[in-house]
Amino acid sequence: MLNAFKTAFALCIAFIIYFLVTQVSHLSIDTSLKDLAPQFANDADTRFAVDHVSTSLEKRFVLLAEGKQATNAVLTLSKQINALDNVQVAPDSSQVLERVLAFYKPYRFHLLSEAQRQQLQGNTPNLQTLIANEAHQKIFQITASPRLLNFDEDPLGWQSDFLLSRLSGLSQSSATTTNTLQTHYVVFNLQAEKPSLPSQQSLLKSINQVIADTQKEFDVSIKRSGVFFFATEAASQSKSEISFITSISMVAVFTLLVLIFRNIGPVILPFISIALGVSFAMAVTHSVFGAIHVLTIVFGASLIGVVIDYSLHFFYHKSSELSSHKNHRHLLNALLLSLTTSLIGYAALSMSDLSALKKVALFSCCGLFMAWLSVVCLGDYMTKNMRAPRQQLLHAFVSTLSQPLKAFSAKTAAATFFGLVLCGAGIALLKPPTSDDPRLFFNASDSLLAQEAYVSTRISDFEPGRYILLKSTPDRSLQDISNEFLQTIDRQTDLKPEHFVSLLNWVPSRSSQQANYNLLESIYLPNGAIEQLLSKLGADNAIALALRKSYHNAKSQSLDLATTAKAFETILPPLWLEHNNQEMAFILIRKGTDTRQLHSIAEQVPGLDYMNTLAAATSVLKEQRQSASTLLLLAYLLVAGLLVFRFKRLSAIWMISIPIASTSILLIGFFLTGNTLNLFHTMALFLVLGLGMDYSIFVKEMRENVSITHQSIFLSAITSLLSFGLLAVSSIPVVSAFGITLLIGNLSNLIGAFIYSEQLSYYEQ
Amino acid sequence: MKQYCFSLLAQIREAIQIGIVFSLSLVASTALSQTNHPVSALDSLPKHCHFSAKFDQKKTLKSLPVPLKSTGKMFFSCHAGLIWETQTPIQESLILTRSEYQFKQQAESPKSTRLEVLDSIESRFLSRLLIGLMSADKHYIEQTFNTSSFSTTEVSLTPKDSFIQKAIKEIQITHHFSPEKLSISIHHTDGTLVNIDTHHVTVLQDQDTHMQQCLDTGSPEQHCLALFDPAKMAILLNENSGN
Repeated sequence: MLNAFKTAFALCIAFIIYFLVTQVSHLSIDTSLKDLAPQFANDADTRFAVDHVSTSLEKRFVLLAEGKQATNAVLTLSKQINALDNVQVAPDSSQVLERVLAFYKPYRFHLLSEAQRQQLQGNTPNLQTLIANEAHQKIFQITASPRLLNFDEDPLGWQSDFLLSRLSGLSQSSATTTNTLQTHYVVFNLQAEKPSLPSQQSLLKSINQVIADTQKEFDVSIKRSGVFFFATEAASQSKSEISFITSISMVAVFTLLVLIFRNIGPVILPFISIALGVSFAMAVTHSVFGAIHVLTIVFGASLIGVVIDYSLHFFYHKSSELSSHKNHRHLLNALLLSLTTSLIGYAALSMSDLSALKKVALFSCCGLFMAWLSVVCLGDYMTKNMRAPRQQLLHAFVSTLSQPLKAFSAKTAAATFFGLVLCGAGIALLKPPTSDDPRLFFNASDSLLAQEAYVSTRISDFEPGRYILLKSTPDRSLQDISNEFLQTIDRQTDLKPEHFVSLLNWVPSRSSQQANYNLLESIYLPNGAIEQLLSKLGADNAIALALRKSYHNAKSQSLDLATTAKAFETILPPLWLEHNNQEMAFILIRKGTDTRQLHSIAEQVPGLDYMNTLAAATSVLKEQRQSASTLLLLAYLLVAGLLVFRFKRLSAIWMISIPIASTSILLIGFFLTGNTLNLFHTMALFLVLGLGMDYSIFVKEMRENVSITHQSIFLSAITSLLSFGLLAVSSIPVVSAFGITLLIGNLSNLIGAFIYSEQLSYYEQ
Repeated sequence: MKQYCFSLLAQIREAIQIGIVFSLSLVASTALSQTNHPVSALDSLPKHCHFSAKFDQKKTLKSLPVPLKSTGKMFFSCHAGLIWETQTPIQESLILTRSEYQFKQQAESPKSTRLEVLDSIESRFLSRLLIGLMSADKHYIEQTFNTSSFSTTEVSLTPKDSFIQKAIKEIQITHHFSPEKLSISIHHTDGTLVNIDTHHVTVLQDQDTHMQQCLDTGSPEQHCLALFDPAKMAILLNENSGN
């Protein structure tokens, strides 16, 4: 058996070396916030569409300037930030307009607004004269819409009006100027696909510098909006916390071990096991997922506390004066059983739908396994000629702490246990207050949140995080679905078609385009509206002749969504996309639209999904929390089964009383303090189970040497608390929730282990 | 989801309308030049609080060789705003106020029976801009334009703002003293040229009855009411449209 472990150990070492040699230069730390959000869409196509759009939006950020010289400030911002690496200013309004006009010009004979279509379809007498008179009136009006096309291309101004109606339909807000205050903004696009954290931080630093300089130079206020700012802030915060937690944890554990073991030698194995465990975990996680998420590393840092347990138990028992061959066998059995129960606890995290937690699960299991192999394979070599640890000191300390617990008679212990379990179960059944808000994942600064909200009110006209997704089917095009949706909307009292905007507004169906083309023929005919207008203005009829020719040449032109989306790809987020031969399009919802009916409307129209990302994410997190609670019960059952199988006695189930009691104490504590439970509290309870089982297994397996066992458990609990406990001070809400749960849970485990040990000794005597 | 780019597109509409408004605002501003000894054409703009004037406008579109000629009259009150009335070849009145409400009335249109409220951001913006220029606010003009005077009778204005530059390339103002005449040429970026000549400028005395002054210039009562009590007019129009 040991040979098999040694072979596995050698293979893992080889893999680490291979990873270090080939991949270390490509090591990628993922900071995407999307990774922290649950997958709220069940089908793959919807997920693809949502990911596609959100990836595009995550690359955009906006800087909004206000002040007397906001325009010039924005010009400077654009120029200076554009000069930075990996960021590019989005096309400005004139460039966008040029592209839109150039794209639409060949199709202009196929486009009509609803009002223009109705006018041409009507039976108005002298329709052509009426149209010519209206155009004549309009050309002099000072409030007439601006002409986007030259007079000789669009004398009536109809195509110009069509384009303007679409532009104004998409946005009513824009930069504004008053006598004293200007408001202008500029959009930037990030170029790098997956920028490293240092490059993100460097870019942010440069942007901050440009903003500060510009604010000073032009005396303007500049506000920012974009995922980039939140992601970089979160990543930087995580990184600094990793450094803090790891450093404090390492120093504290190192000092403790040197103090106990009296020389530096015994400290080597724990740190080798940690180094190998974390290296192997990183290598596997990076190889499987292509990157390591910062959250994985934050949680990974907490592994130190668990990984070190194996070497501590190993050292403490091996270096004991009472160490024997029998003890060694028991020790290996205890280590193996401990690993198995911990793996069950950690592996349960992989059942979450959260990508980040899956990575944590893989990282943790791999780290634990490799650390365990290191201890088992290298332990014997490292403990040769080792001095006995300061058992007297630790013994005195542990004895003092555990003395009050000896007062627990069997009956008192059982009554306390059942009392706790009853209270805990009662609270669980009463459904304690919970929180499933996905915003718990982020701890954005108030300043960033305020700026984001402010910029959103100034330049965004659409509901954030709410949209409608259309998906074509073999027998229904996107236009068909869109038309059905708009007809349904028309029947609602509180909703209007103009509340909804999509790329489909820009591209009439093929049949509509053909109908428009046919309707427009009359205005280009001899004595049609165009000839009459030119006559009224006293202009040369050559313009009418040239237009008639252009109209006939454009007969075969037809605008489609794919071409439009392609033409707009540098201007717009991907509001249309094709995936697996299915077309999909997003409909944006104007701010202030009553969205309550949209869910039921989406159910009525096939091929239509109403997406409310916040509500959906909250709902999925709730499902995950409830599912995790069920999985926790399952994990307890599996561990109980494993214990019965291992010890061939039903009474072995008592071993799980330690984590059960700890979990009950946590539930009671949260209930009494009014804390709301979230998914991450539940996830931490898996580790409470794993750690509690470690202690009970060592109490059971190593009961022949109770004092040594108590000391090793105490030592390992202290090291675990040093790392897990530090997570409680994290400013990231979910990490803090994780840490607090483990801090209280593991302290309870320690106390429970001592009580269990007393009861075990009592019954065996 | 934010549609930043489309918001930018909407700016274009605004920018083009700015060009049109400049053709009005500068007519009025320069029409106020009454002094015979200006330091420069810009300095010659007097700050009269109430005045009326007539205007001739000639617009030349890039691809239309025929000039588009129109005429009309205007009334300005520094307290309230401006009534701009095109009389030939079309009839259209604009009432641009210092409040958040702006109004329009078109004749020869099915909607000509009453005023319409212009409630777009653009119209509010244009109104603020126009009234600022009508007031001959030198500080405002110098903040918005780079000015260069070739002589005491000619001045050239180029927008400082890149946003306005997208619509207007240059504005040239020529001031003739005898007889009193102002010529304004607005060169649009798209090649459109607007020439405006002002004449018959009448400076009105600042009286308590501004409403009567407005009526005396021949403006309809409804227009004057809209100019001096825009909020009430907006409510009235809203109630009528509800009925």
